[in-house]
Amino acid sequence: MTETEVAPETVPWTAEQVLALATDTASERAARLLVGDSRWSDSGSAAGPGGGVVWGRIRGTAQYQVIADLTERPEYHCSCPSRKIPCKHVLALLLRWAAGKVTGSEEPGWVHDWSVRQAVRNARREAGPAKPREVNPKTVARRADRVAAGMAELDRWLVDQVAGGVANLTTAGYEPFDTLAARLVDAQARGAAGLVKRLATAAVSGDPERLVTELGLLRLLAAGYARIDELPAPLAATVASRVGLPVSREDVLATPPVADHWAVLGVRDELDEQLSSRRVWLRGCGTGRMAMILSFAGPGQALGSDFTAGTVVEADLCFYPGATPLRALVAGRAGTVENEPPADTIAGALDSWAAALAGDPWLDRWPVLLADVHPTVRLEPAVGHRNTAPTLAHLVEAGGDALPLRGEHWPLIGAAGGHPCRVMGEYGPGGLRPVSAWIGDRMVDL
Amino acid sequence: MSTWPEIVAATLVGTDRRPAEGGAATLLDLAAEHGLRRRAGVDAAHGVTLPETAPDDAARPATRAATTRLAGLLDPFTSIDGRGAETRLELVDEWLEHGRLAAGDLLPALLDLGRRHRRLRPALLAAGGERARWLAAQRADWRYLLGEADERELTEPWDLAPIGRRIGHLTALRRRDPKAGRELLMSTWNSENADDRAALLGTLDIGLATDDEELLEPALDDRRREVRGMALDLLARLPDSRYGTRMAERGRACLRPQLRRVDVRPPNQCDAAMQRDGVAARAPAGTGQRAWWLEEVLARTPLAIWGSPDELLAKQIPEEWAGVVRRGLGRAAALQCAGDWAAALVDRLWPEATAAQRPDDRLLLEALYEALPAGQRAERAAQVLRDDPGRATAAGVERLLELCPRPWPPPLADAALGAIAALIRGGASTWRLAGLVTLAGTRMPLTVADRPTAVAVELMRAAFAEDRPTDPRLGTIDQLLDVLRFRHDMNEELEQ
Repeated sequence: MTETEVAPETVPWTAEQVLALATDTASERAARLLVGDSRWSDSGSAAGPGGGVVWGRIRGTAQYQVIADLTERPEYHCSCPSRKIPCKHVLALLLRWAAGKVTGSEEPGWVHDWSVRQAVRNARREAGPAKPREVNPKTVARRADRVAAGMAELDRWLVDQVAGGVANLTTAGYEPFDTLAARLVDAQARGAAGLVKRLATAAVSGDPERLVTELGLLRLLAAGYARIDELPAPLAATVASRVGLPVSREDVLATPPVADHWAVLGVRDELDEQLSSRRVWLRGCGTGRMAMILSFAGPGQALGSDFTAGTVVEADLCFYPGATPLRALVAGRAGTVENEPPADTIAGALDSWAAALAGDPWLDRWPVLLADVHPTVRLEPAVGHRNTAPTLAHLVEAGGDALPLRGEHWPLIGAAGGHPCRVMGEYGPGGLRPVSAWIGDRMVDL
Repeated sequence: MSTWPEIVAATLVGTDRRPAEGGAATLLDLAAEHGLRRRAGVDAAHGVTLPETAPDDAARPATRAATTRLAGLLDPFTSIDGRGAETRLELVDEWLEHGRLAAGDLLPALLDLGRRHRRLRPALLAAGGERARWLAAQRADWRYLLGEADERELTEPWDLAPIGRRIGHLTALRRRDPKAGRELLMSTWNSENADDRAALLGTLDIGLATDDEELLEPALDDRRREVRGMALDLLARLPDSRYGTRMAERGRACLRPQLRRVDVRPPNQCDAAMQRDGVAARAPAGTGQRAWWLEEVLARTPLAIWGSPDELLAKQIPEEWAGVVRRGLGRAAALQCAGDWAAALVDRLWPEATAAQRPDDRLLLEALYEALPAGQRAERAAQVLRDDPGRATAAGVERLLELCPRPWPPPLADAALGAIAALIRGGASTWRLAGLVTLAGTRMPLTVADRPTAVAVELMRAAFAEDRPTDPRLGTIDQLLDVLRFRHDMNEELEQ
């Protein structure tokens, strides 16, 4: 989650801001249905930084007490049995507040009780990790040994596979990869484990070129980690992060920030039972730099929602160190501004992809923003490369240069209607996965 | 080893079997180097032709808020409280009916929905505009939009085309020129396989005329039961056909209207000729053999021979046969889509059906509702709901309500609100309420007698909640309120 500075004044949020808190679209829609006056009683708000405290009682299946504390550390409370935080009742309460329908200010007893309990809990929490975490050098050394051992094992495994021939990996299913990935997780090399999972996908895809490339890339990582001390610092940081060594927020925030007007190009969520992730894609209007804010949420938690797609935010970003810096944290942030990020031609976008790979060969997606491309579906099958299925959908420039599209492309085709538009997508081997498009004055989330 | 194909081949085979210089480790390094070079050096595709642009639309595009709402309705991953797939479909239909242009990115989902649900198509055609037609032309399974009758000529000979396209083509032809359609079908009839025969014969439904018996009469001797059944149903709608004449003769032998009463003489036997004409020989369990034959004969006898419905039904029918005669005539009315007969019979069958609660009666009533003239459905539904809301569900009033135009005309809306109130007060179980409430949610007009429907429902709720604050039926009313509010907001967004 990112830290953002919010001016200490009580301005009700907008409905978009409120709905961005929703853990999923289901509760978002449910909340919209609960905003009716007849359901609510006893509601009010108290001013405070960030938005203060908002409360109300709702008549659902039973009477529920709903409290949203929007100060520095937001807390949402509702007496309903839902395990989502915030639940639909909290969202509905905030929607009413956003619409100016929460007028009371007298704090009822139950709100007071709750805030007292909350204060006690916060105090206890603060007291807990008060003593600075001491880093035991022995622990660090032990960890480094384990990772090194894990990576050495990975290297041996790769060499063994190539000695025996990797043709049988294509029919072995996921099992050998899962075992190896689990060993790497044990060795605290989570990043490498993730790459092994990617290797598994390549193996079952039936594309031997992709499999061989991914094998080579894993070997490159193992070899790189073996001599990480000899590598130039940025490359060493990239290798370390791909292996899965953690970087603390403090270290990232200590790097010199990049100030710019950052355009929010799109938001992509990957929902998972255990851990959901959200990628917010940004591009600096002045620097032209691409950035990604990554946030995670466990089951029932809300994903960070500090950015609204289509807006441009004045902010300072600190990038995670690496040879191709992309992931960033927000170090400081002012309001939204009017500006427009630069967009590329297809050739320019492919150049940026090549440059990005030069710094981080393990990249599998790279954000690109294309100007004036026509989304199109070719009706006749293209004569494709050997072993690749012909791609029928493309983004094509006026001159006829084109990038293939992957994933669901029909909404983009429908949105553009054959006209040129600006498209943001994640480019990777196989083509571009569209994330958003700008049609006239409307930004379309794809 | 220096080319990419060599590296890939060597890696696949393995260095044990085909030793490589430097061994497996060097081979992997080469794989990384070459693989990465290929990945990074990927070139754009060249010479891709630009798409044809979609024509501009004249209609007004929907507002941003309305667009967001439609996107929510279309998102298969959102579950909306108390909203089944059916309600969602109704809401989408209502959105589209406003005629505001749907955003282009939502059209693919709408086209998919329209493919599965024919009733969305008229509204989709308007709300989708030129953009939807432009899209539909690019994907085979969306082409339905380009005219329900796809007038495109078949590219292959008639008898070799896939069955779906043949039906489409034949349907279009029947609409334009029924005779030509029949002749086309007859030209290959004897060489069609049984499945295709049944499917193709169904197209005669469009533009059905007495001349079609040329094909239908021989189809009565078809080997396949489905084909025979289809032919029988179609023939029963042709009173002037040879089939109609035969059945009229049988009907007159069974039912002999006198001055004040009707003589009933059920058939004594069911011979091969009768069976060929669709009279089922074996009675279902619990029904007398002769009574069954009587019902079967009447169900297939052209109603025109009895004069007007009231004329026949006013006469006295012997008690023991009265029920059978009404059922037979009822089935005939449904089969022949005779609105006047359906109206006359619904009134007479309703008390029996609701008293006995036999599923057959309920099905028959539902079939009669479908045969009612459109204008009468709402009126009758209102009447049923007013008369006896408790029994209305037993008489299949949900089916009747489904057939009523949306939004419901004021008298029906009034009656429905009254019925819901009465059912709740009367302690009806929530499942009995559910059907009515679900339909009311999506089909009720948003205002009744100058008052928002939601307000009327609120008042009803408040009055009831005062007496029974914890009653589970309150949840059912809340569902209704939720849907009404949702629609209210949606309509406001669409009108901006």
